[in-house]
Amino acid sequence: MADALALLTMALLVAVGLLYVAGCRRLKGGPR
Amino acid sequence: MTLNGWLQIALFLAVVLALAKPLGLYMVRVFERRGTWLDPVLAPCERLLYRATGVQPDEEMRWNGYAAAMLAFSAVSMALTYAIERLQGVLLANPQGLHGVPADLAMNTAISFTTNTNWQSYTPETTMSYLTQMLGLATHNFWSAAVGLALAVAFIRGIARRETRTLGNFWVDLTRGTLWVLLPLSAVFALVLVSQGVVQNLRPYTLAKLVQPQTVTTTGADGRPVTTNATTQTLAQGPVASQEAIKMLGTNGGGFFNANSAHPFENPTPLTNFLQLVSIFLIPAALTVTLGRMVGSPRHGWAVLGAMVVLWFAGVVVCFWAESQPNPLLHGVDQHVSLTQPGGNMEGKEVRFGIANSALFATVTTDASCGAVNSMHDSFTPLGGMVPLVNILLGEIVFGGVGAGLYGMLIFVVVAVFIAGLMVGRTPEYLGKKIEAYDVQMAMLYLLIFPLAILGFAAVAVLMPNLGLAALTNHGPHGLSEILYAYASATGNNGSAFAGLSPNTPWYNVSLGIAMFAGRFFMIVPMLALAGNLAGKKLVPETAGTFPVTTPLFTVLLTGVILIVGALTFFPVLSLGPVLEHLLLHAGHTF
Repeated sequence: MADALALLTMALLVAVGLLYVAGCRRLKGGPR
Repeated sequence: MTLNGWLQIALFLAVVLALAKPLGLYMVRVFERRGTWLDPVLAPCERLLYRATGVQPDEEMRWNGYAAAMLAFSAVSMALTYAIERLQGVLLANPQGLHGVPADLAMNTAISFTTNTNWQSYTPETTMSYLTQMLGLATHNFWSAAVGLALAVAFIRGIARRETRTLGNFWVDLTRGTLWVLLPLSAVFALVLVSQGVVQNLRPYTLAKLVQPQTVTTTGADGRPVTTNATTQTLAQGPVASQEAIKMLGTNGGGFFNANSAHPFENPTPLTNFLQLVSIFLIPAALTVTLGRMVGSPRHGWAVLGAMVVLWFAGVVVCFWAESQPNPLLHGVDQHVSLTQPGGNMEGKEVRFGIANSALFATVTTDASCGAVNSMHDSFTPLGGMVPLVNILLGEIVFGGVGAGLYGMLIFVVVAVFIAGLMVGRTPEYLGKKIEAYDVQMAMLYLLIFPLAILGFAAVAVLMPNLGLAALTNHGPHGLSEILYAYASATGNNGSAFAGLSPNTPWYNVSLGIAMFAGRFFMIVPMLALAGNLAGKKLVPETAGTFPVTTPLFTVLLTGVILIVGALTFFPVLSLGPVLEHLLLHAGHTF
């Protein structure tokens, strides 16, 4: 259970990082 | 303050500056894939690695591809370290029979070493097996530093290139940074450390018989004092030298032992102490030369280095002065410099290093996001302890971490030229590139995530007595400094601890883990986006109205912007922490 929570937390952080890349890419005036 | 101390500080700066240029020029050759004298040995290894992993070395990446590759690499290596920690009890190289690391601590440590922070919520010699230290942690010392190097080079390419969409190949930069820069330097430095007495073995811990038995009083399980007569002492061993070298060169800072570079097996002699100091600043200083050469303006590199030296020197002066002052509450004790004692505040410092080398180490390790310590920052005077804290809060850009310091500083450069443009009413330009709305948005995103994580988490921690405050051993303004330092150290990817805080709890392990991740990756993404945008711009010819970024005036403006942004963001909390503690100390209160 503790392992699942820890791995999920790390996976979520990485997923937010990837979403963040997509977000910065879609901002007006940015590099495509 | 002593003349001897100043001479050692001056020698340190001279050696760093002397080594910056040759190493910086060497790194230009490495990252531009030009020939070096190590090619006969390393080029076949490089080719083998690309063939085994299917990397196409000539394939260029856009900024988002570069960011995704970096995130994927970090995620996989982080998960690997987590697994090693959890399973160490059934794995090899564990002569002490240490059990698997608890899940929250394993997660915190995996994030910590992946992000080049090396925050340690644990005592290494009683928690981590030799395999975990070598395969789980020391590998990250190389990889996280190589990732930082790669990112800095990608940012430099963004400035140097024009009308292109690509920043290089992450896998190539990662491989070349590791093979050509970090591995050779670490191998040589590790052997020097061994020659000075740093241990390097896989033996079980040594049980030594005490020459003079000691009476030790500890607190028993029922809370009552228990007195025992100690006749033996356990001396921790391990593969220390190989980890110590990259710990300093990669600005990682995670000690093999809990006492870190105050431990005689990690830092045994004055020479190792000096070399460790130099090795922290070595690559970050050299990267400014790399910057200057790769963007075609060596003087710009020197101007950036100038701002770093000014901010470093200001920190050393304040810290050395503050620690040389006697403690006003120690009445009747001679605290002046003499032939028999170093004078000043010696609490938490090694007598063999004294005031100057402790103050210099504390300043350098927090300037450079290293986090190794040879003295205990919690025991510094309030103003002396404020220097390491302020160094981190400025954003780890005074030399900074390997690669991370340079790209952090270049974000401030963008903000500085933007402000200069506002002052004269012209579109800001940086080395022939117009700085536009998107660039400033990304720079501000980078700068705002940092205080958001530090102040946000610290505020939540002080509002929760059972979670945040329960871990404190000191209260009042000193307790606030301890909590603030922990989140600053985590978000700044420094990793040093102010101590006085017992952070091995689920709350601190998780919140500090998130702060470390945000302080690394959530700042890298806008930085790479900015680099990608700069790479696509046309070159604008320089005119009489262009603000030059190669002059002492630029160095002054850059230094001023860094200090103003830092002060506006963090002065309120500093006034409630170390500044208030200083005033109360002189009013007779201590915490």
